[in-house]
Amino acid sequence: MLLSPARRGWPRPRARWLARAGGVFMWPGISLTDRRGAACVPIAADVARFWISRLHGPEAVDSAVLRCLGIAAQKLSDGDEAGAQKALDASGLTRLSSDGVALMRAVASSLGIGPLDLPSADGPRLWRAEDIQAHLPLFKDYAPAAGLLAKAGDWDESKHPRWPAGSSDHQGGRFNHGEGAPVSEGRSVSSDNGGNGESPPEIPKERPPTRLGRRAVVRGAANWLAKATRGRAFALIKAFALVLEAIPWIRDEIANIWSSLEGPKSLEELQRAVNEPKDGYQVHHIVEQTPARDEKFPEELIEGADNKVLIPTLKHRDIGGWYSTPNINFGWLSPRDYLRGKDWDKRRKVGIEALIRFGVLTP
Amino acid sequence: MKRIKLEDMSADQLVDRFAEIGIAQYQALLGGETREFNQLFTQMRALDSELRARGREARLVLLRLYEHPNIQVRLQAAKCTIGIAPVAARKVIDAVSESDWFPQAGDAGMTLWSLDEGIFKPD
Repeated sequence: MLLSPARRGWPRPRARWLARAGGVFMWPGISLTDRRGAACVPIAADVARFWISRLHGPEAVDSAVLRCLGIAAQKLSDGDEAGAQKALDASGLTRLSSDGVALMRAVASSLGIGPLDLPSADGPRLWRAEDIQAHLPLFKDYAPAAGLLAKAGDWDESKHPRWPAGSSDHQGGRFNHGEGAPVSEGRSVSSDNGGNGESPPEIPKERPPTRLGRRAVVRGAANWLAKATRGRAFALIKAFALVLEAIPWIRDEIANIWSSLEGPKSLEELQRAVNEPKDGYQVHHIVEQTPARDEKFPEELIEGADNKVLIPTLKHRDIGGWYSTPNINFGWLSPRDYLRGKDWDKRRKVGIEALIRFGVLTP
Repeated sequence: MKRIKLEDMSADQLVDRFAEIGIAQYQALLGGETREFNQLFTQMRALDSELRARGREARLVLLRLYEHPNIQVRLQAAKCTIGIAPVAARKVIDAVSESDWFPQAGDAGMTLWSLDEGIFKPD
């Protein structure tokens, strides 16, 4: 139930459970909380007891431990991550059981991740080797989250688990970050070539030097998260969020990434939101402002409340890019050029449809 | 390196080049590189024109890109061939529209809309 020290990637050596990215994790990457709307709630007590007792023994699971989990979940609901971590650190889970040590080593070996470096409690071994083996499939589901969580802390290239050289299926030397669990049915997800969507995109620790490089990473992360959300891969999402938070250069883009996951809203909601600016969103003109000004449309139409909506920044970029690039649909012209000379209503019709098709406005 | 003229390339070579350009377009869109995209679009249009000049059979070779792993390649191939393979092409565009992978999903959605509105008249 405890978290490994920072040398394997968990952020703080003294951390026991980890409160991050809106959830509570236990080693190797098991989520102990769920989301209900904006609220963070503990998973069912029986399920939590099961996981805790695997590594710490049945005697470790007293009401105080579950109470700490409940407090942490409440703190996370309030947006108080530090308070949540403090509650988790007070849980008193500082030792593995004798059986837990054996299981932990087997799981670490099975998943190709670092072991927990925690003392073990004295006590007899009760589980046989086959009991340990029977547990491994249960942990396998957490391989992707485990790999991501390991990557979130102090990065150490030499310790990052890789497939051994010479592994089958051309895996030798590649990062092994638990690519086992498909996120969704989608097949076009990798950030470099529209690849096949079964693992989160790599986030470079160093800031890419070009705008193209940075935007590619941000867009890749946002698109992957959208897929993962649709596939309900919530544990993986939480773990990926942890990775994002741990990499300084991308922190400035996190609001843009999360806002892009927001579902479509009514026109009234989008228009009303213009008066409440917030991070991750930009004011968008339904009828493009510069071409409209160039063609002498009245300013009260262009800047009127009816023409302005607040939409996620990445969607704003997408739609602006779509307007400015040539398109087979519009006689090989860009939509912007196609609309040149057209009346306001025609421009607005295209603008509204673009908001719908780019997932911002409810049809 | 001497560049082969389009008219000297086989239909398969043209389609392979089409895919390369589609992948480069994908990157340009990711980075918001409009000028780069526009140049690539001009190159793609030239390929499409060359295939059209050779007739229906040559254009049908583009259908093999409907299964390409890159979403931009699939979308552009479907748009360029919807005039000769309307059902299959529309299916590809539908799938991209439903993919939640932006900006391609949005472009695909607008393609469906422009078809239904009669703005896009495939030939």
